[in-house]
Amino acid sequence: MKENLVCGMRQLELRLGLVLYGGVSLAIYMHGVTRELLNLQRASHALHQFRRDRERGVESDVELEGSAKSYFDLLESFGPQLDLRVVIDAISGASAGGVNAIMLARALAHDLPLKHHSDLWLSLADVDKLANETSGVSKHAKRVLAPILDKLLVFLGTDVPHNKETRTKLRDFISSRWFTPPFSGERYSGWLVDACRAMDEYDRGETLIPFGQRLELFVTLTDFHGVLRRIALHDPEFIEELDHRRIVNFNAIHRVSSGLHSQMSAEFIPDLVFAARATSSFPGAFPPMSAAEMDGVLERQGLEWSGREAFMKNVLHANCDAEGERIFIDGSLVMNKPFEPLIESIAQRPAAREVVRRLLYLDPLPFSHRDVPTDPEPPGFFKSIFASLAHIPRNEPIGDELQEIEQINMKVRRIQEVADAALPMVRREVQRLLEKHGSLPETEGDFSVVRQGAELSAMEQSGFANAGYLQLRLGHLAHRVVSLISNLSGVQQEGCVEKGAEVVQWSWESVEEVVVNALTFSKEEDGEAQRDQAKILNELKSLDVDYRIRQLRFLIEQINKFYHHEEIAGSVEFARHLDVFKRELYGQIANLRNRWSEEFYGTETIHLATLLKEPSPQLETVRKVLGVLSLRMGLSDLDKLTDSIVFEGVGKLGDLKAAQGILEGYIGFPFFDTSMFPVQQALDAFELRKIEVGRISPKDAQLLSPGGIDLKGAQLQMFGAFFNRGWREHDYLWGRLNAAERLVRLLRDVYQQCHGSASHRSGG
Amino acid sequence: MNLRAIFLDILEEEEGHLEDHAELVQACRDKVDEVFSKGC
Repeated sequence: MKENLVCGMRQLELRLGLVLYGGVSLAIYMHGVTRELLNLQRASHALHQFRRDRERGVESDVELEGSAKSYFDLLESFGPQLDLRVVIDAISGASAGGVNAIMLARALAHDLPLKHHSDLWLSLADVDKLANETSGVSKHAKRVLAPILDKLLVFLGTDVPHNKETRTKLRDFISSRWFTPPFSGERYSGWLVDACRAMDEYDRGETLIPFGQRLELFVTLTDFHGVLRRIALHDPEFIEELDHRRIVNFNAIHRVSSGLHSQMSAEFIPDLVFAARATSSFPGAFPPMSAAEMDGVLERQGLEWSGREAFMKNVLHANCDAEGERIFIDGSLVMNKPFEPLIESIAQRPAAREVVRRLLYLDPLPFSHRDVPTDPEPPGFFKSIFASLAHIPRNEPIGDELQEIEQINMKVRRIQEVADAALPMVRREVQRLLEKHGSLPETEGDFSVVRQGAELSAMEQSGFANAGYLQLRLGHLAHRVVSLISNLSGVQQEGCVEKGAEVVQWSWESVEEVVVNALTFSKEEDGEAQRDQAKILNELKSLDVDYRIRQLRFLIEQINKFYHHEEIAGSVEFARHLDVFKRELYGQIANLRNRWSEEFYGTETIHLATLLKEPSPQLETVRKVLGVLSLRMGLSDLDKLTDSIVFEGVGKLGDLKAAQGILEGYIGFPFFDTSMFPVQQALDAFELRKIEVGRISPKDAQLLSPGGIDLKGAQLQMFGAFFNRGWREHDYLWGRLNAAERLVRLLRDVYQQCHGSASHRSGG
Repeated sequence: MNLRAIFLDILEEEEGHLEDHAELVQACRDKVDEVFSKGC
């Protein structure tokens, strides 16, 4: 049915975070998967535009190709109950997965096709084309070696001895130049540049990123020489170590006011190709990546690298290396399963609508019991060395990352339990505070007075626990303020140091202590010096940005709970109102986050911040800097604005239970925070929502192939697909088919989960 | 039936694109017909 009841549909966003990791020639299977991910988001974007046009009375044409048309039909079929929008908002990649992550992110950010990358993988990712000139063994020697090599091939993979193309290429490959990387890095970089430029021919200035949203991309690189870091100890005074892990971050933001701001545009092709080439620089196969290689590739193509200096300094930390340029190799050596940056990124993303979030990881070679030898023999000399240097590190189990996510989810449950335990008391307190107003005060001013009264009331009622709570807030605030000051002053807290740099008798930790002292006030009570908690609270109010962010995020979680409440689920008007309400709260969170950004401050504040680089900053200087920061932050004005948003938001809900619940979350937050913040600090967990994980692999999609598919590229130590075009086509096609099956299942699961309350609402 | 349509879209698109795998594409088509004829 072609629905026209857009306004009557429940709106839901399915937010996807993607993790793509190593697998050498299994990159081609992963590429097939990314094609479908792109098609799905393109279909969802087109449907959203189509519905918006229809709401405005405009009939627009939908131009989609291939499977995107059918994804469009599927998403449309969820109406009139559900308007499901799919948004990929964070991608993390390492090694072969890193290349695909970069290209997918670029396609999403600028609504570009990936077909040129398909051609690259299918036509060019072959040993014949990747390999350097073969000048190793002579023709005569090759003839002599051929029978021996053929016998050895039997041990290399099930299909290898029987496939002429693979056998011939492998024989030539083995007898080519030894002890130098067989593949040409420059050629590979050049192809990546070509494919990126070919994509840009389709650039119409569009994006698949929704308004107000951001797409983040993380790529892991291994810095071969590493950068020197200094860590303070008690004895010795410090130690130094080399840090080889580099996580490169690119992002694209689609601002409502100023359009797309992207680090994935044509201007950034050299940066992106550098990252793609470096992260997939498998040791022994490709030479290490360097800026010199990129310069050569660009020069031959007559291209410029306008952002070279910034990339070198900010991303590659070239300024830390006094002895030469930085060299990069395969990112999977330092982080093969790059979940960590993705989890940090997705946790605090704004979502104006009701959101279902999934973290999807792509595992082209999942563990199978078939892989376990039934009668394992002790490894020989070379096998032990090779396994410990390459095979085992590259195949480290995914279990650690998944256990970490389980730990995060466990912490989320614990924090929720703390909030639930406090709720009855908080509810009573909020009712008491609002008693004289009935339910909601009549004016915004009165509402602000009640909110501030709750802060004082929470402090008084929490008794001696409040001293610890305030101290924790002070410590946290001091750390954040010092981070800001260090950024403003241009001296990074955890920056790299140059070899042989002098030991400085000053550290940001010492400044942090002075900041805590500057914010701590005492008063005489019963002949004893006591902390003046009211005064400390007052100081916190002028600077504690994170308290307010916690408060708003907590409030948004309370609002999310009410989407499923029958009062809201039965009313399109109320559901839309919650969407708008949340959007405004996210706007406030963005305003608050800005206060931690150095761009927010002017030259005067920056000048003051540099004064704290003294070995022993004076208390008065610190107080002066804090005073200026407090003035610039203007948090009391933001508080008024937040009060106004909440007052109006709750007011529109009238007598609904949701209004009461949301008020409890906002007015009652000082009580909740007194209980929750110490637990959050102790668990080092500030998430309020669980992370749900899904996998796409050849073993998970079994509709067309019961038992799953054996990828051809898995042979020859995962180099298999580089030796045979047919094998590449096989893996690529199954990548697309497997992804389609898994994505459709995911969409249907989300639809089924939401269908209960949606169908209830469609009746209302 | 949407999944069937998606599978067929992919196979149609790749039919003219893949050089060495006409047989695989046809085998997948047959499998799609078989699976979905059972009312999957």
